[in-house]
Amino acid sequence: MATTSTVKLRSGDNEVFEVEKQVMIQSGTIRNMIEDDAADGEIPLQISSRNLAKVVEWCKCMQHRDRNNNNDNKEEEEEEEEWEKKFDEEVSEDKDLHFGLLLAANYLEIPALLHRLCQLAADIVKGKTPEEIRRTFNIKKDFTPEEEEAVMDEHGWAFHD
Amino acid sequence: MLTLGDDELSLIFHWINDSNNRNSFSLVCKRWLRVRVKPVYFDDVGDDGICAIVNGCSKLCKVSLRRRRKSTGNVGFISIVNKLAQGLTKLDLGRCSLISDQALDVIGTVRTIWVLKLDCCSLITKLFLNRFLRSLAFKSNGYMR
Repeated sequence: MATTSTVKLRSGDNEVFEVEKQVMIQSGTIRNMIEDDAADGEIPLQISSRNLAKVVEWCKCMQHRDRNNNNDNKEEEEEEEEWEKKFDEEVSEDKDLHFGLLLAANYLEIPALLHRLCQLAADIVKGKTPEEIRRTFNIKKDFTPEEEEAVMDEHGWAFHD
Repeated sequence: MLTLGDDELSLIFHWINDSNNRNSFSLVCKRWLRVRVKPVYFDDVGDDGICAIVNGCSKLCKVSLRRRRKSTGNVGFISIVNKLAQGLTKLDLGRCSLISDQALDVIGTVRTIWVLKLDCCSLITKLFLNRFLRSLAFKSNGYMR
């Protein structure tokens, strides 16, 4: 069988994405499958089509950037920066997308995307009180009053100037 | 909203450097606290590295230097004892072949320690160990291997 230059990714909701292998080798998981000749058919992924589309878009953009790294094309450079800025804004405003991409980037082993998303999540946490973080991330407090007191004894100074 | 795993939370925590923010992170819920207090492992750390770690982490209570055969010597050990004397409860020096009688002498100043492992520390002499054991007042639930 002739080796194709593309790989087919099937999302959890059964949408198929055909992407150049050169783009998807940024994913350690996909790269291993390609190297093991296990990527000739469709690769089923437990990632929604919305999140997978965004991952593919990000990988394409990064590959384009890396390919043009040595070009002194200011216009393209600005376009890429603008795309990355929009990506950051979109992700920061949509927590479902943010967390979905974070899980996908970890599962697909895409370190650059994973680091970027973790950094954005850390930026959201910074400067917030525990209660504000809970509200932002929709987390329920599960400390009993006694446990909270014990943790406060250890970390209570965090609330004082 | 999707739930992140411990793995992802741990990676996010890695990007938070400010101690106030790190402590706020710990107080969110039990799972976030657990991610915060996960053990930290340092490989290939010599005496200088150990001094730097204990200077920055003065509340460490369990320290394992096991199998640091040629990297951990008396200097690193003494800095641990000096800096962590208030809270050190377990210290594993097994197979640290550069630790000698001289270093072990200072462990007597740590009142909180109740587990001390010294197996295969070849520079520690039997004579010294016997004297050390006799002089050391371990807590009733402490033990020595």
